Amino acid sequence: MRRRTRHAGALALALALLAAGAPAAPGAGPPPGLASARALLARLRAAGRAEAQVRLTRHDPLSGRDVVVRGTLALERPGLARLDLADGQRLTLRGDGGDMLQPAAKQLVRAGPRSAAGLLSWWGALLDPEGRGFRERRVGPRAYELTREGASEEEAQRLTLGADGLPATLVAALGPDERVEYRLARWRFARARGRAGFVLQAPPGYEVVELP
Amino acid sequence: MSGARGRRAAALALACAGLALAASCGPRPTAPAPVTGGARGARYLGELLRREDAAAMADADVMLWARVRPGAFSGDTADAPPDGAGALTPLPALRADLLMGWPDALRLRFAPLFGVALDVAAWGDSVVAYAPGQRSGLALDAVRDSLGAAAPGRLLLRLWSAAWRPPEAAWRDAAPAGDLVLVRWVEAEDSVAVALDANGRPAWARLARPDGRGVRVTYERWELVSGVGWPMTLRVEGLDGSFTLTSRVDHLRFEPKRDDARLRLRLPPGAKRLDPARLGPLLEMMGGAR
Repeated sequence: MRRRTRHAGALALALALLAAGAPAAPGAGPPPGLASARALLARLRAAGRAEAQVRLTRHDPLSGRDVVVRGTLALERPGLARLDLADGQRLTLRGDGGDMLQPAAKQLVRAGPRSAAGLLSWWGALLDPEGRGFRERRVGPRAYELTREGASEEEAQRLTLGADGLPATLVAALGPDERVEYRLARWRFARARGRAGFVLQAPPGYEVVELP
Repeated sequence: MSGARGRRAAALALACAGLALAASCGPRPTAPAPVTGGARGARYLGELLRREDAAAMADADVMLWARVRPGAFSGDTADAPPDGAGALTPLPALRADLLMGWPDALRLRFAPLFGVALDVAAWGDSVVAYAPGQRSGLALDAVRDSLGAAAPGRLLLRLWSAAWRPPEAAWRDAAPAGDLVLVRWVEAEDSVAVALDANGRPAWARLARPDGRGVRVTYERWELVSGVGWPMTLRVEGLDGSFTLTSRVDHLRFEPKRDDARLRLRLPPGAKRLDPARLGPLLEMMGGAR
């Protein structure tokens, strides 16, 4: 899972977009945490659950091909995330780890906090109202660069908010010529369903791989 | 490049013709002839020629499942059973892009959906691995760094495409082994064996170093892709029982020209260089085919 969580770091960052927020109200003084996360966190706090349609595009400079995957993202507090992709892959993150279901491999990976630590550090920080673990820099009217504490500037991910202050686009650079773009649309908010919806079950015939 | 390929194709065609001639020179049978080692050899070489002539490069989507004995690669045997055997622990399956360029280049890029997690290229005597997420990697030379596997690119290409090359003498000594015909030879210091089925396709191959380490590859499923027989599912086992790796090819595309820019991997400027010892033991286990 370590490799998975590492490559899914960009995904976690996309989830992190959730953390993007609107500017503070005049006279209220700057609230703590990431400015880019405030609107999402406020609405998530009020409703309990956020959902968005996700379109992931990765340009592969070697083959010249674009890989496009669509799915649905769901978020709940505290620190619950789930991504359901159109090809059947599922990924969840919780405070105690996360699960990944791969139909093509007929495998469910259950990762504990140690194996999912890399991903959780992004995820936990971005759903954290304090925004701990991140640096944020405003680079446009609705655009921000987010960098993990201790990481170099070249690892910054660019987050753009929509007119409603909710995350709309995240671009994660993977290398000099390679990047992944997440487009988030059709945000909707509903009552929380609870932790059980973020624990995946293995269908019959699937192998379960447990990681610490 | 085309000249080398042409010479190789000519040599293989000549070998095929020789084997076919040898197989046809015996007394005319009055009943359906049992498939002989020579005939299987001819079929094998014919298929090998078709695989290698289908393209200068092949591009595949693969799914990989690995099982390892705890501590086998880290040297930490604290979790290993006391008898050194025991059950292997499954690892998360990984999807990868596999590029193969004949005769000696192979590149494997893991987890391409969300972005490449690990990129490994073997080219002649060199191996380069790079993890974009960590911005770190290593560049090794089989001779300088004593990987234990000379020409790792050629070895991996042979393994994945079942392109083993028995010398002429090995064909003469081929012997039946149940339903299979077994061809054995020594290459450099290593013992190599390939078992051919009735279609002349490798059912399995084994490569063992003098100290007993090495791998056995079982070719579990073949398919015709663009008219060429190709091993779509294979399983690699360490002879010491320390690991298994199953590879399933989901999509295979042949490309008429070898694109060295896609096959070659260079560490980007500023990449952190890791200790070569982190990759060496893995390659060493795979033996030393030339």
